[in-house]
Order: sequence, then C-alpha cells, then structure tokens
Amino acid sequence: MMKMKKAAALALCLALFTLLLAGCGGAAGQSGSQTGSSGQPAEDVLTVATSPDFAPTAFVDTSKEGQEQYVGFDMALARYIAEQMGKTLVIQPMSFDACTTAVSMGTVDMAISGFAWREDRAENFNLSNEYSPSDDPNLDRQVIITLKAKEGQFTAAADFAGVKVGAQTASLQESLCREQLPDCELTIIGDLGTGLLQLKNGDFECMAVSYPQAEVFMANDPDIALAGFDFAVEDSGTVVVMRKGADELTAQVNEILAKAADEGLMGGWYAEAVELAKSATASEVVFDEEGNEAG
Amino acid sequence: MDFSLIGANIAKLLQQYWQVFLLEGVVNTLKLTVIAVFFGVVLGTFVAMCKMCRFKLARFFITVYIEAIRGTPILLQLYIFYFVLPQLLPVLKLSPFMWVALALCINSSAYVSEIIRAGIQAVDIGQTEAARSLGMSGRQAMARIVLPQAVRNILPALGNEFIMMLKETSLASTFFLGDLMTSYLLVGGATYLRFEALIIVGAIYLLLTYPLSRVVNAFERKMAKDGAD
Amino acid sequence: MAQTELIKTVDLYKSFGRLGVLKGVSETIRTGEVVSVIGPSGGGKSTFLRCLNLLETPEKGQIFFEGAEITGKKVDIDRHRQKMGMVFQHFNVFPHLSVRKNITLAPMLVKGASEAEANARADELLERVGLADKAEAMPGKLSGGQKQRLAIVRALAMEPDVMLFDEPTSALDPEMVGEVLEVIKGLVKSGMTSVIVTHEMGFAREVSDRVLFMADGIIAESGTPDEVFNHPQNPRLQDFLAKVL
Repeated sequence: MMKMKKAAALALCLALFTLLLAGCGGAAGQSGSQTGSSGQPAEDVLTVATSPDFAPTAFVDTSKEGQEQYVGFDMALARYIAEQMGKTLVIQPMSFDACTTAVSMGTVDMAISGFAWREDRAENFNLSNEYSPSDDPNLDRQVIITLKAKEGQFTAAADFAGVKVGAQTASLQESLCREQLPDCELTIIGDLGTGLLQLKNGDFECMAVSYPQAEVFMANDPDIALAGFDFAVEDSGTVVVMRKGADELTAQVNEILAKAADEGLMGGWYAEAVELAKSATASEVVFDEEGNEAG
Repeated sequence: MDFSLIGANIAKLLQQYWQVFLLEGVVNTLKLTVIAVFFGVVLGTFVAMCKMCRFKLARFFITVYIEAIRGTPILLQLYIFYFVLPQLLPVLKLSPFMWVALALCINSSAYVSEIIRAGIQAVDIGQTEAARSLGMSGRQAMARIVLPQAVRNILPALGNEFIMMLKETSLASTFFLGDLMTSYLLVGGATYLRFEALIIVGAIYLLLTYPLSRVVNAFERKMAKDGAD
Repeated sequence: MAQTELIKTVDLYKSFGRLGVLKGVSETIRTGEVVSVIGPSGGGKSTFLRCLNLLETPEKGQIFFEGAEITGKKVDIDRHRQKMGMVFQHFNVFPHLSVRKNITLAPMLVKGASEAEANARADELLERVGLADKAEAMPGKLSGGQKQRLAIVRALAMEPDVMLFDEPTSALDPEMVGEVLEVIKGLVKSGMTSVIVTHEMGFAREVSDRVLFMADGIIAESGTPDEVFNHPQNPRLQDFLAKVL
C-alpha cells in the first residue's frame, strides 16, 4: 500500500517535471535555439553549430527572434548552404569550443563559425575548401593591433622580443605568433572581446587578430590602432567543419561554396554583416535613435 | 584603459538592450534556477531517502550518483547532457533548454540530497528514540518529530543552494540559452562593449543574489532563535 | 500484589564493536515491582534498560514482555512499546511542539485517541506534576527539571504497564533533582511497575523493592535494598558502595 503510494507520487513528480520543462522549454526557445531536439539531425533539416558572439562573422541581432536573430557573414553563408541543399536551416548556438564537440558527437551536421584551416583540425574533421568574403586582400591579412599611442611601433618580428602579445586560444593567430614571433611573450586569451579589454588594460601590449576583426575594433574604439606588422600568410580563409568521413557532405558543401564565389555573393554578405555589426554597436547609437534600432 | 566613456556606454547599452538583459536574461536565469532547485528538491528528497534506506545496494548506487555529480564540474555535466544523452536516448525529444535544465536539476538533486540528509542527521537521535519509545513507527517518528526539526536546518541551506544555482545557471550560456550570461555574450559580441556589458550583468546578478542572501540570513537567525533549547 | 512476570530476559548479549556490554543477562521484572539498577559507568545498566524496549537490539538472547517474545522476527515492536514508557537522561522532549502537544501527540497518533480525550488526559497529568500553567509553553522555555517532568508525563499519557527510567536525574542541576525524584516517587507509590537506572543511591534504597548491581555486563548481585546496601556479598559491589556512599 505504502509502496504503491510512493510509486504513484514519484510518477506524478516525473510527469510534472516533464510538463514543466516542456512548458518552459517552449517559452524560452525564443532566446535559445528553436530546434525541436538536440539529438540526431533530422533528414530535411540542416543543423549548424555556431558561436554567435563575434561580429561580423556570427552574432545576434537582439531585435529579432528565433532563427532570424543569428546574423553575420557566416550565418548568411549557412542560410545559402541550406537553401542550396533544399533543407531547413537550424542554427544551434554554443561556445566556440563546443562547436567542434557538437560536430564530432554528430549533434549537428556542421560548424560554421569562422574556423580557420589548421592541421590538427584537418586531421580530426572533414574541412571544406577555404572561403573568404571577397577578393579584397585585406580580408586575408593577419595583423597585430595595439593601443593608439604605440601605432606603427612594431614593424618587424624583432620588435616583438620580450613584448607581450595576446592571441585567442587555439586560433590561427596563436599558431602564427608561435611560428613568426618566437621571441614574443605569448599570452593566451579566451575570447576576443575580453582580449580587447586586456589590451586596453595593459595586460599585454599587442594582440594578434585578423584584419577584418581589427577593422571592427578600430571602428568602435579610437584607442585601437594597427601595430604595423603583418603576419606572412598564404591563404587565411575560413572553413566549414564537418564530421570526419562525411565526404559526400563535404563535396556538396565545396560545390556550394564554389557556386557562391562564382556568383560573387560573398562580398555582399560581408558588407551587409559589417553594416549590421556597426548598427548594433551601442557606441554609435544616438539616444534618440533607440526606437529605430530596436525596431 | 580609458574609463571615461564607460558610464556613457553603460547607459547606451541599457537604453538599447535593456530588454535583452531584463526580459530575457533575468527571466531565463530565474526560470532555470527555479526549475533546477524545485526539481532538485523533489528528486533530492528521494535521493536522500535512498541514501538513508536499509538496502545496501540502493545506498551504494545512490552514493555513486551523488559522488559522481559532486565530484565533476557542472560544465562537464552540461556537455554530457547536451551532447551525449540526446544520442543515447533519441526517444526523448527535448529541446536544448530542457536538456540543460535537466542537467541542472540532476546536479541540484545531488547537493540538495546531501543538504536534506545532513539536516535530518543533525536532529538528535534521542528525538527518534523518544518518539519510537512512545510506540510511533519509524515513518511516524520521521514525519512528526524528525522532519519538522530538520526543516530548520534544511531551509536556510536550500536558500543558499538557490543562490548558488542562480550563479551556476550562467553555464547555460555555453549553449546560448538566454540566461543573463548569454545576454552578456550577445550584447558584448555584437557591440564589442564587453566590459560595459559585464558590469551590467554583474550588477544584475548582485541585485538578485544580495537580497536573497539577506533573506536567507534573516531566516537562519530566526530559526536559530526559535530552535534554541 | 499480583506477582506475574511482566518482563523476562534470557541470556542477553550485546556488544558495541569489540566491546562486550552485556554478557548474559537473565532477569525477571514482575508486575508492580520497582527495580533499581545501579553500578559503575560502562557496566551495562543503560544498555540493559534500552534492550527492554528494543532501542538496542541484543545480539543473542530473548526478551519476553507480557508473555510474548519481542525479540522474534515478525514482532510489531511499536505495539509493545506503547505499553513501555521510557524516560531518558537528556529528556528528549520535542522542542518543536508545545508542552501539551508533546503529551497528546503519541496518544492521538498511535492509539487513535480523540483530541478532547488526549487534552483532558494531558491537563490531568500536567496538574499532577505541577506544570498545569505551562501547557501552552514551548519546551525551550522550561527548566531542566520541568522538561524531565514533562518527559515523564509524556510517557504516562500512553498509559504504559511499565516505566523505564534511564538515569532520569543525571543531566539535571542539583537543585532540580529533588522535584523529579518526587514525581517518580509518587508514581511508584501508585503501583507503577518501574525499572530505574540511577546513581541516586539514597533514592534507590528508599523506593525499590529490589536492587540490581550490574558490572562488566552481568548482574553481579541482586536483592532487597537492605541486602544490597547493608550486606553486600560481591567484592565489586562492596568496592562500588565504598566509593559512592
């Protein structure tokens, strides 16, 4: 008798639990991803992992809701890929580190989040051909930024002897620093936004970033300037990361990338993303325009 | 760094993004916390009962459960729930939010079960003996004598668990689930005013936790006073 | 006076870890009898008493209560405990319940007494031990002596056939010992069968029909108060009395 009561109570609790979770899950979906499930991707859906926390590559337009809110160059590319494949795109946002985990676990079909080509990445994943926003050579540049006061003071590798240089963990810039600035004091940073804070804080004098990134930084912050040094890079486009062995998918993505390049779409996406990023930047928002911005 | 613009930048961020911080961030953070602690208590009570039951095997498994959860980082647990369990249990069609909420509930249940167990065991064994010597069954003694006294020990600790969980829900931002920390990532990521966004989010966390911890403290004192023998 | 066997123990053994506390205790308590248990600390007095209502489970041996074996497997010990009141050294009153609720809870919960019945009984008992004006107080407001008197009437409210006292005055301030002993004295005079573990030798001598001396886990000597206190045979008892008297 007692046992039955207990079992019934437990069952009731579990039922309540699922109900409540379902209710809250539905309501909260607007800010998180709106996927039906984080399990195996369905047939007609293309799930893409991204870390939407750096403009202009991938970020969130908070005035929009659901899948619409994920914007930026990589998101435009993701939409194009899904469209070409005839599938519905579902963006699954997660931290940069989690993106690759999601791909290897099969939680998502691919990760598009400004991934640079790297050897260890190529060993563990299928990487697409590299893509970059346009033919603008600036977009391939990898540079060092510093505070305005030191603009142009670092022009050769030798100038970095003993100088603290920040670079994002596991990034292309980190390996570039190790290879080309062997005498610098490399400081690893978690994300670029924090890195920028550290730079301004004096934790390190310089920071290695891609040129498009540097452009956004400089546009938003008059304290930031180019140090005057360019890394030697061959081709620094970014890649789509897919599960090891997903050769068919990789071939399909490469085809779509080539098509987008042929049609000259990427430059437009990029320009649009940069514009969006600029309008999202509060420092450029005039108080009176707040209503328009939020719209 | 230049601090002169921070005040103005914060004002601008609040002006433009207040609904992201308050309507989404605060609401989702509270939602996750309430779900996690509520079901943590329900599940934790059950876990504590198993931990104190007389079946050795049940006690063993529950001990493993508690130690595994308390001995691993909560972030790792979120990864397991987000990436591994959906593959192992494809029939459970839960959204990412639900998986993370579930992970937090499970995490909370381990801590809550220990709070409940400690609260119960802190009640003098003499109370149980007195109740049993009057002919009450073990169940009656637990329900009428031990639990009402254990609640004094348990409630303040649960309040602290709530505060802890409120902060730990920030890990949901790993998957951009809309909590306060996600607000920081989103606003900071779109505007590059990360420091300003951090200050805003930090202030909101404090505004949430400080009154709560005052309430818990006051409650603790009241309980201690009432319970004085 | 009826002299039927109320409690009988046969060859009780109990140990805590490797420490043997009871090493073969056989004893019979008869209805209406007042039995005091004295002896040095660690001699097994309290353990023996706590075995009688199975707060401690003996490892070996049997206990019979009102003719039924209560050490068996399928025994409803809760039912037997209703008939055995117990008073503890540290009172163990329920701090979260008012004085009245302390008394009425078990009769209502266990025996199904109505609230009116239980309250009437509680008032009568509180009157008897001089706590009538404290009925609505919380136990935290009571002195040690008042708490122990409450604990006694709490047990009496179940209308037990025997009362077990486990050093009822050991935790009291000296000035409160008297009031508690008076209550116990009144109780045994009314004919309540009682087993009293105590260090109060004068009290044991005064109220007991029989005194048991326990040392090293056995009942080393037993007899009338006169035999035990005035003509001790066992050298350990002689030694013990020389120290405490």
